[in-house]
Amino acid sequence: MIVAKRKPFDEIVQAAAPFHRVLVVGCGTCVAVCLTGGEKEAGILSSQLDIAAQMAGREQIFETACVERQCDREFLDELAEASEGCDAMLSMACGAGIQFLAERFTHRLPVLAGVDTTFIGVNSAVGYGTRNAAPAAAACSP
Amino acid sequence: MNQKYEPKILALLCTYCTYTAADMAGSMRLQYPPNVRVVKLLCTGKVDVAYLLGAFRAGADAVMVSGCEIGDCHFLEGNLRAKERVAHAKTLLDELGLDSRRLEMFHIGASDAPKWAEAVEQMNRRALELGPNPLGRRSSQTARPGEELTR
Repeated sequence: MIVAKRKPFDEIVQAAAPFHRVLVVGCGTCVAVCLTGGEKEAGILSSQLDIAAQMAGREQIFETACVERQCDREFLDELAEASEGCDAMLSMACGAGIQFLAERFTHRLPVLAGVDTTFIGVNSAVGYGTRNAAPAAAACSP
Repeated sequence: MNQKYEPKILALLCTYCTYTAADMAGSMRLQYPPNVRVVKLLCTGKVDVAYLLGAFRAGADAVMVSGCEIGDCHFLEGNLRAKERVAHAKTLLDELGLDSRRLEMFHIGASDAPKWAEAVEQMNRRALELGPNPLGRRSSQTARPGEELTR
């Protein structure tokens, strides 16, 4: 699966600041598993952005939606209705998902990226571990 | 009109421990600030980061989550999960520039009524020191879905 991490919060705030109504779009596949951009994380980022806008005195509205997979065009159709009236979309998917979302919607509204894709990973055991490139030095502790 | 600042503190309490301690504090006639609003949960494992941010969006000046002592959770690890979620929510509050000391996790057993009273005192002192929530308070008319906070 693809592993990603959320972009620095200030960077996201700056990117979203010019838009009044922003749809934060989560992806229910890889980035949901690595707890970066699933439905819950999209909702939390939406809340955070709402608080940041209030504290800065900006009139902004953040809405949340989530699709099963942003890297699959057939799932993007359901966002057409959700994005009605929005000024921008903020994608929480990996690079592939953001690219597809941009291809589908850029003619209508800007698509912003909320995460950085970092690497391709697997679940090898319960817990958290890292593995060195050299097999002899492999170290993966749960 | 001169309005005195009285912090509004939200307390999310586990029914098996801290809620019982808070009940006992009443029976023992212990005195503590009346600014706290208690929400009883079946387990603090139910606490979600979204609830915590929602409380601040609705205008809470401070939020306390209190579960069982470590190792005593009725559901084995609900309080440990809550502890991690509170820690994560604190990092999100820091990102926002909303002081993370407004949020705290406590572990208070069912028989520890004095500890509950002290925890409320502590959060009240902290909320007074930090001042009102910069987001202000929303009335029930202006609250967004899912973030209504009883006033």
